[in-house]
Amino acid sequence: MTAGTGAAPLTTDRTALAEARAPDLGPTDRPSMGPLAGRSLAWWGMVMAITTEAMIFALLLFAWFYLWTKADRWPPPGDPLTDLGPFTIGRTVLLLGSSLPVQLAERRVKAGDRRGMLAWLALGWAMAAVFLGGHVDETIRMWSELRPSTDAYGSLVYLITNLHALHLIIGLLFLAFVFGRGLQGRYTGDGEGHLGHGDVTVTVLYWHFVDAVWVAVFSSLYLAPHFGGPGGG
Amino acid sequence: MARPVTDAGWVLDPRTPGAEKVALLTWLMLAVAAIAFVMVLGLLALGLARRRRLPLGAERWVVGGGLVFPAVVILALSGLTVWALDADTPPAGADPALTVNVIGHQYWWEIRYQPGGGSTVSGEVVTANELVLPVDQPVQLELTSDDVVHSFWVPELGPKRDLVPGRTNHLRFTIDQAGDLRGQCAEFCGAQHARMAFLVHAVPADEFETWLANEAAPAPVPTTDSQRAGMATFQQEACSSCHAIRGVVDDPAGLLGADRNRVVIGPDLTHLAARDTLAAVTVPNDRGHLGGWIADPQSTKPGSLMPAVPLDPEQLLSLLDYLQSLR
Amino acid sequence: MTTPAVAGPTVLAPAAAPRRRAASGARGDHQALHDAWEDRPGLGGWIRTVDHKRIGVRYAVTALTFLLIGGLEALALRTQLAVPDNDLLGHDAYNQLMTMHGTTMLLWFNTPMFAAFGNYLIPLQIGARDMAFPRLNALSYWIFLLSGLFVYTSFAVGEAPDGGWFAYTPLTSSVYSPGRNLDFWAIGITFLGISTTVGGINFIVTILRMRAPGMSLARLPIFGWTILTMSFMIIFALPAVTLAGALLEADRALGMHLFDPNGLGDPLLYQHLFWIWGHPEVYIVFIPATGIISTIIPTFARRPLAAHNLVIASVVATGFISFGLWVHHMFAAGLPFLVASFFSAASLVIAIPSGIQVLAWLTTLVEGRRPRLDPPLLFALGFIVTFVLGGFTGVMVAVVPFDQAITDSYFVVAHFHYVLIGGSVMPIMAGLYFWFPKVTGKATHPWLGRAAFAAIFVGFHVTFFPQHILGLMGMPRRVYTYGSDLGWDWLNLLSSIGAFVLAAGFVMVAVDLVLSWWRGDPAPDDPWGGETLEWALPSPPPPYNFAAAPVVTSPRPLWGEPEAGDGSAGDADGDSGGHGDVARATGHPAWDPVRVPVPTIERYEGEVLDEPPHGHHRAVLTSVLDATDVHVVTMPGPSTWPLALAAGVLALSTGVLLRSGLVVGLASAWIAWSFYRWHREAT
Ligand code: HEA
Ligand code: HEA
Ligand code: HEC
Ligand code: CUA
Ligand SMILES: [Cu+2]
Repeated sequence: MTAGTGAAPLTTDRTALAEARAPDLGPTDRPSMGPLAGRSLAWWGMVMAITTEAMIFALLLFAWFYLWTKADRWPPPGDPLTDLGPFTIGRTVLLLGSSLPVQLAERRVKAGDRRGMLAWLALGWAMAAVFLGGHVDETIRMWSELRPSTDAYGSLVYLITNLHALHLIIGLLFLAFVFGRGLQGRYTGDGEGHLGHGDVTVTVLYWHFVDAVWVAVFSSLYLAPHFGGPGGG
Repeated sequence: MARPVTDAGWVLDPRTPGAEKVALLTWLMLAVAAIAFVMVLGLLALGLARRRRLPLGAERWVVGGGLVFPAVVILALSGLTVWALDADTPPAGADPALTVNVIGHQYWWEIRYQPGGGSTVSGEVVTANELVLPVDQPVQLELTSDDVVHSFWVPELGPKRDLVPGRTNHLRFTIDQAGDLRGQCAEFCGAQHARMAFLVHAVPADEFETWLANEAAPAPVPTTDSQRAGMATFQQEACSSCHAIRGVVDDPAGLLGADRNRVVIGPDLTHLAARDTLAAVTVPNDRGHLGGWIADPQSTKPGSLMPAVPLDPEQLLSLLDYLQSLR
Repeated sequence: MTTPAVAGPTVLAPAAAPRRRAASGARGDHQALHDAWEDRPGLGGWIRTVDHKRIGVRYAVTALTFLLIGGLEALALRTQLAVPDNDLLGHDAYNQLMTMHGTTMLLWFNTPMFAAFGNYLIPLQIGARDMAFPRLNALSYWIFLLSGLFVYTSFAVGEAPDGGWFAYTPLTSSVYSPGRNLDFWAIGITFLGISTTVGGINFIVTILRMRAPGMSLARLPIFGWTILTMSFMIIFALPAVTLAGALLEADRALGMHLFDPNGLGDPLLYQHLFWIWGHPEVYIVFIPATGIISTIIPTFARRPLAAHNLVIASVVATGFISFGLWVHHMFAAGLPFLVASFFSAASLVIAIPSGIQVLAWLTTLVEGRRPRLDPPLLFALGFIVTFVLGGFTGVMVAVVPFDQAITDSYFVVAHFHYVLIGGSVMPIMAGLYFWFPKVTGKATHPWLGRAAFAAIFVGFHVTFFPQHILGLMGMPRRVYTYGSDLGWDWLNLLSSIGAFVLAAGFVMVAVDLVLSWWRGDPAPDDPWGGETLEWALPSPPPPYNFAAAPVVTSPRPLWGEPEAGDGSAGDADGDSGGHGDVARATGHPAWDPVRVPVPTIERYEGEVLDEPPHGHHRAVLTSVLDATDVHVVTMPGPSTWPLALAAGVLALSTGVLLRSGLVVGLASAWIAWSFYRWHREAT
């Protein structure tokens, strides 16, 4: 501490910092939080945004189970079960699988491999697009038997699956954005900045979140009612 | 039962054992709060009055006054919570002598007595806005709502309880003192939430039985020409599509027996003249106010769900004669 | 205004900083820096600005305008209730004003007011040049403003929300509220929620990553801790009300049945969702208020906050516990005994962290120097007295049997005005007076502020104390009128009279602040001898805040160690625990902080911090825990797109209100486009 001199000295680079270090925190250049060290602001922002989005889905699923325990049967008599056929399972596998190419795309951009990145992004995008098509198809098929206005069961089925679909669409737009910029050769792959690999890293993080949400949605809306649960059914 | 109820109520004037515990608890909490508040003011005064710094040993005070003291109070309060809530739950197996369904409607109370085995009256007894209850007998209220959430509150009877559509809530108590009490809807329910009150008449058990037997009977038969004309008006005009007068109009909405839920639009008027007040304690039940209410309900209670029914003056007068005969 | 209480140079001010270049003109010291950060003059610069200080002031002015509006609504309510059977306001007008009073005060005044303080102060207190996401910050503000205009259009079309501030279903369903009133409400709060959430995320990342080198989390000023806690509470709690509002709107617009008992829904589900947010919300507006108090009291007492670490722990604990209390708003709903008992116990436990804080403030005062009764301290003292009373009634209503007796009565109205006005608005007034000289460079009137405090304090208690008694006398809340035979007359009249005194107090504050800003005497840069970094800057601070990165080595960067110093311990753990001991050991309780200079980093890895390359906004990032690992990054500069995007959200909300798919579609496209342009411009 340079107290008492009246004016701060012209310090250079690390000198002042070294003095400022809290004694119990070890040397300055110790990575302070393992993998979290050096993450970009955008990355942190995305983590927080995901946290709050995750709360929305958690609360919707809370509503789902809450009303389930109140109901005599779930789905209510006359309402169809959600489809747990090979089609749904197939598109689920596809969506969850899309995390892999997207992750690989990030790895490629870090390696400075633009073409590799674009290829993996395109693959992930296509897999998710097929999933989304499946969602549209399921909605059309279900529409004659169940509507959001049928009862609370119908309301929740449509709300939750479509809210997920909305997130998926946003994710697809993000991927498209990154793909477009990649095509223009904007990403150097160097560092966490937007124009390093930052954009890609943040998009990929969001993508994993959308996939993870599907795991929760799938288990609650598709698996659980088939195997009973609170309130029977 | 013409005892007017003038004062509003007072939580600290308990009329049931449960409410007595709550009142005691309230005084106790006020006392502790007063002591704690004086301590706070004392420290504050010290902080402003002393001339020098006063090394108290702040941490000890913070831990003592901010952690240990409230912790002790909290523990005590938790115990007292259980003690006071206990009054709310009757001993297992104790059958209430009387079960009353209270059903909330936008701005009035539907009341349906289900007399127990001990009563001379059998079958359901329907009335509105005034609860007559026997003293010294356990009573169970079953509360629900036909439309939006309301809340049943009589300050002297302890807890309030919400009337939630789609569920039935319970309230059990034994009133230990005869007297008239005023209750009011405590959950915001729309335009006339302010005028959704009711009366509780706590009466000795024999008086209660007499009252109940009278309420259970169908409406008195009109005895004068004017009353008969009034009855006819009631039946012919829109009144009969919303109000029941047992023996005269039993199925106002025309839906009983159909595969529909019970539909109740307006209060049962079978023994209207036996009530003290009109329109959920909005006005006293006398000829002038009754006439005013029927001629123009919206000026008495704007936003109430009863429309003005156009009647010519003779019709109104005979209708009043008839309604006032419904004792 | 006091004379500077401590001597010593304010080293971060350009005038006092070492001159690295010849001065050229008034701002010659850091001309390049100034050019890079100064907004362009005129409307364009005003709209495009991302300066956290301008946005903070804007937030404050807007939020205080909503205070004025909500206050006028309250005066209308109180006028109606002054006498029994009053027909000044009909039930329609009353219910709309009542609903909008509660909604406006909590959502459009109180919460944004702390966004105002946070915005202005957090970067200054942590030694940063801006918020982590300057453009999102601008977006938060625009959305806040436009959402407020959106809900208030409802008055213009005669359909203001009228379901109470928690809008319980089924009353608010399309069956019982067919008009557009509740659509305005449900869409409006969802709309506003975007602003609050984005703001919360911004504060978190700013505090975690933008602290000055050396400002480990333990050295984060306590106000920063409260904003950090508030922000985490926002991102966890806010989704619940967004969902409650959105699902209510889905029920209304799309015929869904989530809350409809006839369609397998449950009205209580709505109540749960609302209060899962609603309860934390009341602490969201309380916790940062305690941060203001914990800043002002030590400054006036000239003694570091007693039990500093325990207070921080209490703040964080309050944040956590507040998520386990929501059911105490539903004790009369008929929930099982066990559920009620659990939430009752949790609600009682929250008294402990509050108690710790109250005792910490009191003992700080006692152990400190006798304070001058300037307006910030007066409001802080008013806060303690009032909040403690409100806290005690809070503890009372947390006891289930008592709550069931008085819930939804005026007793509860009294409780929450004690904690809201006492616990949050008085600290806000204290904060306004405390930082006014920093923001404007002007001093406030010598006695108007004290008079305003007297009016507010007296007016407040005259207004709200009688309401406790009214509640016990059976007066339910949300009644637009009452009969003259109930014995409620004179207490209501008294309460209404008090309301006007209270209002006069606020008007005096407003007059004082406006006049002083306009033609007040200049104030010194550090009129109170504050402990945090903003007091080392000139008033008002330059657009770039800090010419060089300050290096922070203590939780009170501007206060030196006690003269009988307790060595490194105090500085490491941020605790002032040593102080009492020092006093006792030395028998010499004087602990007059000495102003110390703050070391700075002027150059980092070759970059001279006050000569930003290409005129970019350059700022310093540090690591999350110990604020080492310094990086210099370029921050986004001014932009029109935040406003454009916010306008898109306004169009979207209007589309939902009008049930117009076309408008919704176009607005969504516009939002996507704005977002794209915004991001492209940034990269
Ligand atoms: C700033 C906002 C704020 C704050 C800080 C609080 C603080 C508290 N509140 Fe309050 N509350 C509201 C805002 C707030 N509340 C609002 C807006 C409502 C109504 C919403 C509506 O219905 O419209 C409400 C309603 C409300 C209810 C529901 C009432 C009902 O509707 O029936 C309950 C019930 O438990 C409650 C409890 C508490 C408790 C236990 C505290 C505690 O945190 C208080 C703790 C503080 C102290 C205890 C004082 C300091 C401590 C000491 C000096 C130590 C000594 C202490 C002891 C010995 C106990 N509050
Ligand atoms: C922070 C929140 C807050 C604040 C500050 C206030 C302030 C006031 N409130 Fe209220 N109030 C609530 C939150 C708040 N309230 C809530 C949440 C409800 C529940 C609503 C519901 O049930 O749904 C409620 C309900 C409520 C009721 C019950 C209504 C009912 O149940 O029917 C009443 C009745 O007396 C009331 C009165 C008042 C009064 C007289 C003030 C006075 O303090 C107002 C005085 C202020 C002014 C007149 C403004 C003056 C301002 C300026 C001049 C500009 C300021 C600028 C500067 C200082 C620079 N409020
Ligand atoms: C559309 C339905 C409707 C019609 C038609 C109607 N009423 Fe009513 N009536 C109500 C409702 C609802 C109430 C309860 C109003 C309240 O207290 O808010 C009520 C209340 C009353 C009361 C007060 C009952 C009490 O216990 O306080 C009387 C008396 C009454 N109506 C008589 C009449 C008469 C006589 C007519 C015909 C001329 C009539 N009503 C027509 C719906 C109706
Ligand atoms: Cu019924 Cu309020
Ligand atoms: Cu609460």
